[in-house]
Amino acid sequence: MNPVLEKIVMDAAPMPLSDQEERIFLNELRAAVQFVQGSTPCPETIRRERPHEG
Amino acid sequence: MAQFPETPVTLLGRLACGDCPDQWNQSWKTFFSLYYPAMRICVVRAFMRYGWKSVPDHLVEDTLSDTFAALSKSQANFRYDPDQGRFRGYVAQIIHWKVKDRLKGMRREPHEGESALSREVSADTSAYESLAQQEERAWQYSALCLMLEEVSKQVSPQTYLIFEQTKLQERAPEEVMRELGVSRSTLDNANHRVMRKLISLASSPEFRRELLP
Repeated sequence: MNPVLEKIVMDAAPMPLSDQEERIFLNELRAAVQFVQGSTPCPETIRRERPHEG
Repeated sequence: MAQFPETPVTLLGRLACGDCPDQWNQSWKTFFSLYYPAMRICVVRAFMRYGWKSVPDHLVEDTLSDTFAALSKSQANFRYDPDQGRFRGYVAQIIHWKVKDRLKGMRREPHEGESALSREVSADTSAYESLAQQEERAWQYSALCLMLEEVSKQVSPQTYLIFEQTKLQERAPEEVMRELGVSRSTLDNANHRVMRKLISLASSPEFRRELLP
């Protein structure tokens, strides 16, 4: 796990984050967005059932 | 109805509440887009545990379809209990059941007395381990994107837009200020506010357990 992210998650990062820590955290967020957006097809391509439409 | 903590299951809470179809549909699309990549890897890895070296795309998609349908139904009663473990573990368990169902249907379930573990060893270990790492990363990415989604609901649309444009898309602040007609202090305050909320969410118990390996 990314050490900066780990520090943030463990509530061990001093606030506010340093510029470098903020940059690393933002890089993680950007990577997450790119990965999720780049890997997900249109939802309509997957069959789905609404629970209350039985 | 079960009581949900504020995060990260607010999205799941919205899915459990079927009172408003528009909201349900929007939440379902969000859930799908955030979790599809991690679930896809999880499906492939589940087949590999039964000795499959590769899994055809159509089989992965069919199994995912079964899983999404099961999740959709389970969310009507909301069987996921945060006290029982991580959300990703709950989803992975459903995926495992759906893979077993598929294998039974194909008459390729493991022979009696032959454990999944022994099959796992016979599978390509390095490929399996590589996939396990990819899956771990994918669940973490899902949780990070869920954090962004939750924060976007907690601040004004303009505040989140400023953060998205300047911090995530790395556009020049001056350009965003001009486009949105906001001052430098408005822009700085917006970014500061979103960052604080993100950091606070990341260290909350609910997100911590989803983000840690």
